Amino acid sequence: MFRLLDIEFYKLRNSKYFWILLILFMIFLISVPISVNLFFETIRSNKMTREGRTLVNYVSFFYTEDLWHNLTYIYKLGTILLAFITMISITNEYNYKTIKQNIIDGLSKKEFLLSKIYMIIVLSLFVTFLVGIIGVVTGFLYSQTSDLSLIFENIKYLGFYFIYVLTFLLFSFFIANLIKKSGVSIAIMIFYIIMIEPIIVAISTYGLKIEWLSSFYPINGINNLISNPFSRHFFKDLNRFTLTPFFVSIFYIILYIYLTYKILKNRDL
Amino acid sequence: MSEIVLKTNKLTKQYRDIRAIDNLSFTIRKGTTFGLLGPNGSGKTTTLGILLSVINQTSGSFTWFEEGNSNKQRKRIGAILEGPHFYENFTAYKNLKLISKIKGVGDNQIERVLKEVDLYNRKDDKFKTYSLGMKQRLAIASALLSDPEVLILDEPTNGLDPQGIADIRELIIKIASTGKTVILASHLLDEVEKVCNEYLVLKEGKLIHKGKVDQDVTNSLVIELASPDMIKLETVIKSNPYFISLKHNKNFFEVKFDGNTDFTLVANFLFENKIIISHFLVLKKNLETQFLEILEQNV
Repeated sequence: MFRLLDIEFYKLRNSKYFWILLILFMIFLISVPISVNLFFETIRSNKMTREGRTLVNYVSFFYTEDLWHNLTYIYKLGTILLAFITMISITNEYNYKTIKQNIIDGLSKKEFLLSKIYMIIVLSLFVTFLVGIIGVVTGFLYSQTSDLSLIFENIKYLGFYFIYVLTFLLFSFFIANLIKKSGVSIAIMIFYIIMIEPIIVAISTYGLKIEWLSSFYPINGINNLISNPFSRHFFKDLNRFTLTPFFVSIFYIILYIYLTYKILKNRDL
Repeated sequence: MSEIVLKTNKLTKQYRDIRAIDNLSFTIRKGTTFGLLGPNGSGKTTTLGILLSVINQTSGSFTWFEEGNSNKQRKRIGAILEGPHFYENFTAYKNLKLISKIKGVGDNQIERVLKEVDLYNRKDDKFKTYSLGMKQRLAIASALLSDPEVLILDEPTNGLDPQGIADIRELIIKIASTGKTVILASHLLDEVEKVCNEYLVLKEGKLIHKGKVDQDVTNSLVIELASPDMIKLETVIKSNPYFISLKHNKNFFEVKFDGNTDFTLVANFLFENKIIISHFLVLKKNLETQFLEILEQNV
């Protein structure tokens, strides 16, 4: 396992795209709490109110018990940058036929796939760790609470974030393996996320009236891991917590790995 | 009997409409420089692709080192298939370091192989800045990294200039002389003739000939003959014990003899029979003519 990780990270750390995307992702991570805080500071200093309450209390981003939920929800957006890393890492291998040379040089197809999957797991763990640090630091700095144990309340969202990133990256990895070309597979993935699945969800929910089905689509299903925390301020009853998204994600993780393995095994390189 | 390096049994690859390889069975022994000869599209690369597990065969089987065909055996093989494939933005050194990791050998071999192919002073340049000849040499260097028992080279001189071709051939002969088994796929007969000692000919995926290069090259003697009296020449030459066949050309005969005779014996024979010779030319019977004959026979 460590040999395969060593091989994969040797490839990554010598690639420019990896560093560019990773640094962009980190900038995104850090900029979120800073800019959100700035936003609230502005509101506070301008004493903007609605129905007699200040907006700061209305949407309380840094409330300790909501902090993890709020943060991870926003950080979901950045996952696309990590998806580009996984996608380019495999499409480059097809493009330069280095996947073929790796096999010739003595990796089995299974080992090759495992080296990428290990990389995806480590990358997911790493960014979860980063988000964890940022969460704790943000909690200390902005939450204005003296009870530090509250910071770790609802830390389960950090776990969900890990599952979300892992599933999403394996989804993008599966598409990249299927298509083999980086530009086309990125375009297809984005098109699927913003066009195809929303349309299918709309049809099945509003057209066919099968509402429960929407929890099982590849993107919608894992999105529910970390539902929109802000809507709760408006629709209090919508925040029922279930474990369904967790099991849906596990199902997709297994499915993507299995399908990718099948594709690679049967493909002539 | 020396050890068997590779044995294939009825290998077949069927693409949708065409059969790229058809029931291919052959054996390669240790220490052979083995040529895989055939026109473009005859199935050479497909065969090698299957032997290196990057292409799945439709049916049939193969065994390396009488053991199996997993990545464990592949680590004992150094191979380049269809040109050099490296990470474009890595330097030569980093590319080789990565391959060392894959093959599980230390990086102390890198310097040796880079020197062997004369690329050591360019080791820190990115692969994409290399010329085709240098890329090809780096590919051979990478194939040599693990000090493999078998070296597989697919059209290694394709697209190179004459100097590059000469360099690569010299390198192959040098490697073969160290006792390694070399499998060389080529559409250039001349190349196989110069480098290999055994070969097989593929045509449309079928094995149509298998042999030893020196035998096939020397097992017959072809001489162009002409005389003022062509009729007498014909009757006399046909009485030679080593005579095989005679072809009428415009001004001379092309006469084929058994390889056990040589041209001085033929000349002496004609002299004894008092034939006046006006044209006597020994044709070097090379693999090229042999190859074309084989192809013709198998139309």
